[in-house]
Amino acid sequence: MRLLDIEVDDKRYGARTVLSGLRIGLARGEIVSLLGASGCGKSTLLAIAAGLDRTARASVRLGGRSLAGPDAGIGFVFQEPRLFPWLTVAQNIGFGAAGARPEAVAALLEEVGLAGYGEALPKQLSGGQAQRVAIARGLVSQPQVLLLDEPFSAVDAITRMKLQDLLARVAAERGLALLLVTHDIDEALYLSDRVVLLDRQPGPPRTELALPLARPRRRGDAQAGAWKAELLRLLDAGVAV
Amino acid sequence: MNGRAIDLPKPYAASARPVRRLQSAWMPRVLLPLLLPVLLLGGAEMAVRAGWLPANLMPPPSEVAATLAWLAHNGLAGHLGASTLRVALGFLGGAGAAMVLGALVALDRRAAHLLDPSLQALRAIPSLAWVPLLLLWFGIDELPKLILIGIGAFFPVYTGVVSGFAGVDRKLVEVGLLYRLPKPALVRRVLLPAALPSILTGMRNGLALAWMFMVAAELIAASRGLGYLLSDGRETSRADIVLAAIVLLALLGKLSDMAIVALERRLLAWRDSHDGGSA
Repeated sequence: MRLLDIEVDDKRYGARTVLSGLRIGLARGEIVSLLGASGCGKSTLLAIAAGLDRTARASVRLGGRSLAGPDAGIGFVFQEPRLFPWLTVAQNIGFGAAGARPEAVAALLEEVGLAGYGEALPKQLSGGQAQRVAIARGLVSQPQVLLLDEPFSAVDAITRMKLQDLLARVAAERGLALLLVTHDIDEALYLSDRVVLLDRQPGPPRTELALPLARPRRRGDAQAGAWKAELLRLLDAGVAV
Repeated sequence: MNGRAIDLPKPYAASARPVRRLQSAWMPRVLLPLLLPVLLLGGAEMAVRAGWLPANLMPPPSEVAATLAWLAHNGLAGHLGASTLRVALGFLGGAGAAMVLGALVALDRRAAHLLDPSLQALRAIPSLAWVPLLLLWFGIDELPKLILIGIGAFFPVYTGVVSGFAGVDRKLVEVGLLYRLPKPALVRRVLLPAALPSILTGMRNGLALAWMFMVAAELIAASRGLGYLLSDGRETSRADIVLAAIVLLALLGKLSDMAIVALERRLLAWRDSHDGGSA
């Protein structure tokens, strides 16, 4: 049985249908990347999965349980860190779960490489550090699934690689399923077990590719290079990233 | 990535030379603001003593200081107390009502449709136009004065509250919704802190207007207060008393403004804003 099932019958913005007849599932511990042209509904799909979009005709099931809104079993990391500037780093992380114990928050800070930053304010953090805090906040409720909407698109290349490593490690250690929206093919290849290509036309996914690449992944791997060429070919055939 | 502690970025680390920084900060923050008043007072003193300005209309600052010293032994505390109490009560009433109505309008669409158009129409009325009506309704006692001061304080605070809530970043609200905050908690933990800068600006403007309307109220009818001193000085042709009252109003206004600025600094220390040197 799949851990997460998302079915979108219909999602419109005004008269424009963005998503329709789309079904995506995640197995426990599976990492899936969503690739597709801008405006094809990737972020909308994530918002529906997180329970943030109530206007879609859609259903979300987690572990067989039907969800009617946001759920502690699903964490979310936005494109921007979206930290509350008036809260300390520890308070921002604790915001993700009512009654989060200070020891749990400290352990998360350690896990994301920010030990000693608990009392810092968001204004004192770099972009990469702020996104680490956002990841920690997404993890504090001990979710089974983490949704990530282009989480590293605003950071520099080196920071992005470090954050990708962090995410791969955290997902492996926790057995966490990830659904990642990205425009970065290398990122999708580095992190994912499966890549789903969405078309600009609403409907079922254009293609789904299972990536039989060994873990831990290595950057610049020759086999990954071959898959990159295949992905580029598919995207070139009709899906602009 | 391991869990080692990382140094905070340099701009936020403690300065290596705190004493030198303190000295360099002290000069512009304390001495510079005094420069213009000292020059003006010195210039006025010289101009009057040299006969360039008529002393009966523009008494020299030294004479105003002597008048202040005389007033200090002749009922000044009562005047200061009466005016300050009126401002405090009027501001609390006006700002309190503005907070409640502003929050209601900002957070409830139906309340906004019901109240905001009427309040905006009332805002368009010059507040001093209420004076004759208040005198007709309530006579010349304390109540019309407090109501007038309250009206003066109300609209800046109301506007600050409404625009503060309306300007909260939708993305932060979305985070609150993601973590299933019920509406009261969303208001308390997300909307209110995010709106606080605008609310405090409204309070600062409201307090300044409260002082202004206190003078207007006391000029019309009062037997105590700084407005009364102004009126009394004019009627007895004592420009020194008028100027002494003006100086006291400036001092009290500045002190109350400094209190709000201090509150702002304390409550909004989290802001990552440009410090261009303005207080």
